[in-house]
Amino acid sequence: MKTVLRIVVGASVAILAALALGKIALDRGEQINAMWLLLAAFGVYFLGYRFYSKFIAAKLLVLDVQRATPAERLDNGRDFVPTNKWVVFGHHFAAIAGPGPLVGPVLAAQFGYLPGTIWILLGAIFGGCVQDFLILLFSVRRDGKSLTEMAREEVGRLGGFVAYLAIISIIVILLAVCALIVVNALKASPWGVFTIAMTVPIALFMGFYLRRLRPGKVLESSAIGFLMVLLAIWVGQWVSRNPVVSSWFRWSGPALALVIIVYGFAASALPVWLLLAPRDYLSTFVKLGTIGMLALGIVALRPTLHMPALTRFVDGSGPIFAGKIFPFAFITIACGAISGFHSLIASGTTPKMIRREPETRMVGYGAMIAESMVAVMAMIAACVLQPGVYFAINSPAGIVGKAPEAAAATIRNWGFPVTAEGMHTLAQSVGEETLYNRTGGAPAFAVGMAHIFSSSLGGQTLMAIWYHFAIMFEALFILTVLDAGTRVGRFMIQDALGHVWKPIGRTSWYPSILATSVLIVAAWGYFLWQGVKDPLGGINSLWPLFGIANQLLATVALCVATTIVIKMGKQRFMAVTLVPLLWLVGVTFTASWHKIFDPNPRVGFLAHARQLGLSAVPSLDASRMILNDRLDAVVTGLLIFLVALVLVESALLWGRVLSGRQAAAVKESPFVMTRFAAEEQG
Amino acid sequence: MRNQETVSSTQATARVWCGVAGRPYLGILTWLSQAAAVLASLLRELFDESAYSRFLERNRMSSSTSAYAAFRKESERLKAQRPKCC
Repeated sequence: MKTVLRIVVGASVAILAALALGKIALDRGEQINAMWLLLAAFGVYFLGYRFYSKFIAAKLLVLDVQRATPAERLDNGRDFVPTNKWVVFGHHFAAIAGPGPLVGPVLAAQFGYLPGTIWILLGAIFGGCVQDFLILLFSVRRDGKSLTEMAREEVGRLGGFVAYLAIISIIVILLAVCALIVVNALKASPWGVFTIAMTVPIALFMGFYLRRLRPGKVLESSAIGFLMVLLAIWVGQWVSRNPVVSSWFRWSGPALALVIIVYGFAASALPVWLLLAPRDYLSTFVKLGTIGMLALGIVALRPTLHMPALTRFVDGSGPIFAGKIFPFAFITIACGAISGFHSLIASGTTPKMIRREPETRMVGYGAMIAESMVAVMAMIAACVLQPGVYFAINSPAGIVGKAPEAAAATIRNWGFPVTAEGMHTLAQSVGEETLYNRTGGAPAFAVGMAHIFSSSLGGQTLMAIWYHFAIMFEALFILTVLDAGTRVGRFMIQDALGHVWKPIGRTSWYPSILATSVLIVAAWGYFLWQGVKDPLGGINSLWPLFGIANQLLATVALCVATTIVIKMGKQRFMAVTLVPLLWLVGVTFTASWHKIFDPNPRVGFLAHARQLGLSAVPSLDASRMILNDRLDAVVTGLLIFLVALVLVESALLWGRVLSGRQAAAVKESPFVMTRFAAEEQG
Repeated sequence: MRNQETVSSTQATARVWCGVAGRPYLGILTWLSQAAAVLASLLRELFDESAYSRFLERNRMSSSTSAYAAFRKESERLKAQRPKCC
């Protein structure tokens, strides 16, 4: 009876998912409701988790409930701590969910809602979830080893080296992109800058509260801090209306970039715990709350998507970033579908908290599903906007022009109705002077989110408050990613240079801290400056570069996973990792080729440099942009070359193992019987 | 083992929906209180309150400004090396 019920439920969900997918894929000419996207997502995730992850767990990985995990064997109460599976799930989700699943889908919406949504759903269940699940389990079976260590031990020294380089490159480009998103969201926005500036004294107060008044009461202090931030948002509207005060907080893009660079350096090199740790807590508090609120808002409002399924920009002429659907839709959405960066988390803190081996399925595969769901919500938030408004916000001045009339006319010529008056009214309703040319995705997402929130609660009167709440939420947790990433990058550089000269590896030696902080901040600061000065908004070149780097790290992670699968003697099931690996190789290598060599100057770095070189009046700006283009091309080429080396090294190893020329032996920790099983039985 | 886990989870599910004899709402209430407890422990873990409790237990200390300062010092380096995803 139970089996029949299970079959009926499974079949019903499959039919419902197929219907919803059919609706979003085949419906043309009519606007559809966002619930169809949610329905398709729930159905696909249910089937993926219920059947595909179970198949992987049972047949490929053979999860062993009797095997003690490192959290149990090495329990030290610090990093190795056996933890409730739901707590680990939440912890892992909070670590993997960053700005990526919010920004990527918003940018990819320029192709329409369909390509991005399909990629988010299928990419997650066949790629991202599989990568996170396998890397987590393999790390659990190796005492919580990192991806770099596993690559070195299972693939070879080159694999470890390339994984290290890919991680550093990703961190540098990620931090630059994150900083650029914040700059573009806050430039010429006194309200936004005021709110973010106020988080500094609020965090300092929280730090004082935690240290002196109520030691260790973090939740309490975060709740108080959150209320203070809400108050700061409320006061911000007065700031934006007062001509004198607002002039103190109206900053240009380059000025904001310099402040963020100084902030990044201070976060890495100075003992500013009193500021950073409380802000980290505050950011987590706001992040989880806002994502939950967005989900409730979408379900309550059930908004209509105004963006068509496919736009004219599938031909590669998109204003936000240039390039055709294949491969650019697939590198624009990384987090939300498949993100190599997750493999660092899945082989970092999380494996040290897993209590029982079978729980890796829920944590690894399940948390990625939750992140993918966030990406679907971001896609909905972008697509509820009128397409004309969406393109007016996201298109750079270099494409649509700076003057409102000219920009609106250009966008209308693309077939998306928008007026300068309409944009002015919208900007005023969200408390901004203008919403044009705010590239980076964050402002468009904030307008969509404010629309959803204000339609559910508060109406038009609260639109400005909700918009600035969304901007604060994005800027706050992006800045947290920025300071955490800068410190991680600094530790990695210290670790690597320590092999060359021992004293630099000492993480408490201040000259080493200063020197390596300068190195990492200079690296991402350079790319940030390049983005801020770029007339095409910076996102056009930096986001694809970030997508490529992130997906290349996923390629390395899947190479490691495939190698381990083959060494485990499970080659019958190697398609589970090999298919997403081959797909990613196709996507990243094609995208890299286009970014370097494409003859269209809006796509190819070298073609753009050539075009600038041909300009009649050479200037200092043009020379710098030519240098930047060439540097971007070299970075992309270097990453691709290194990953190609790992692929070759891995493929040779697979050949040797499969042909029997090398023994198939994995380097797992020895089996130890868990005591939890006996305790549960007792 | 797997069978035992399945059985106990099925029994728990049945208890949730059927409740204890004559009082069906009790099952739901139990489930809700369990969910709230898990949520509370998740928040305590995310906000390092559990880590602080473990620190106090390990060092046989009671909560104070100096104990919290020592905890921060110990966990700072560990936390600083944790990447946050994009």
